[in-house]
Amino acid sequence: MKASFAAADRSRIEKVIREKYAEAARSPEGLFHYPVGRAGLEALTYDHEMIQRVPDSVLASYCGVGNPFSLGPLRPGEKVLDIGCGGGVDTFVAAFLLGPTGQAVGIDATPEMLERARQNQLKVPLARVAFLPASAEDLPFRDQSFHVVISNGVFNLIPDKASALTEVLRVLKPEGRFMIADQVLTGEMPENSAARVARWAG
Amino acid sequence: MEKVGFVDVELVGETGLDSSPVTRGTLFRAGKGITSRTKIIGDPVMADGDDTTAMPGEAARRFSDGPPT
Repeated sequence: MKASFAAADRSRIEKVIREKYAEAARSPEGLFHYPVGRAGLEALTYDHEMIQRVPDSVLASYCGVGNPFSLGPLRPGEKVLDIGCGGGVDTFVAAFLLGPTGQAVGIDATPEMLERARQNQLKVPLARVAFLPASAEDLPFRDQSFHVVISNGVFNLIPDKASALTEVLRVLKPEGRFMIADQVLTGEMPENSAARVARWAG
Repeated sequence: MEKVGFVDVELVGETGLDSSPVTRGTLFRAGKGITSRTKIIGDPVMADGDDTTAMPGEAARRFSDGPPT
């Protein structure tokens, strides 16, 4: 299960992803094969009332591929980690659901996305939300820190998925829940290596 | 996920948002058992309500200081 990449391949994958998501941090419109922003949230049947609590300029940064909150409840007071938080929309939704005693932490490896999340945070009146730079393959948290880990359209981009999953397991509390929306491969990837890398980035 | 130790791994369904002709948007959920084979290398878990996350810099201060006024 361990990913086996030449260093050059890994570097190329990370560079393409970084460039794509740096651009998506400005606006994801036109960069994906599916609806983004408010249209994406509505297509995925996010709670309408929850969406209404977030400004359109914040919702515009959403580029998730599923609704991880459809997989189970978040309970008031819990601690939630959002891996690959992007502009932070799912992190904000989690924080709303957790209430004033919960904590929601979003991490992202793309600096431009983190900056977008922090700018978005200025528009959303929520305490107990933090955004940090981090890779899913090396989470900067103590063991058993979170009740729930969510992720939306990110694990397919991670070169070493086994390491990232092991990290998720490590930071979850006993009986913690992992709720993930993501892309899975159902056909053949292109033979051409450049096309494979581009396809990797989605 | 099961290979690294998750339990109750479940493919719940498709989301309808696909990033390419050869990929499908999907929803999975999985759990961590009461006892995990993951080796515990950090500090003992603190009681709920305490900050168990190690967060550097501004974010850590924001959490430890509580909500802004």
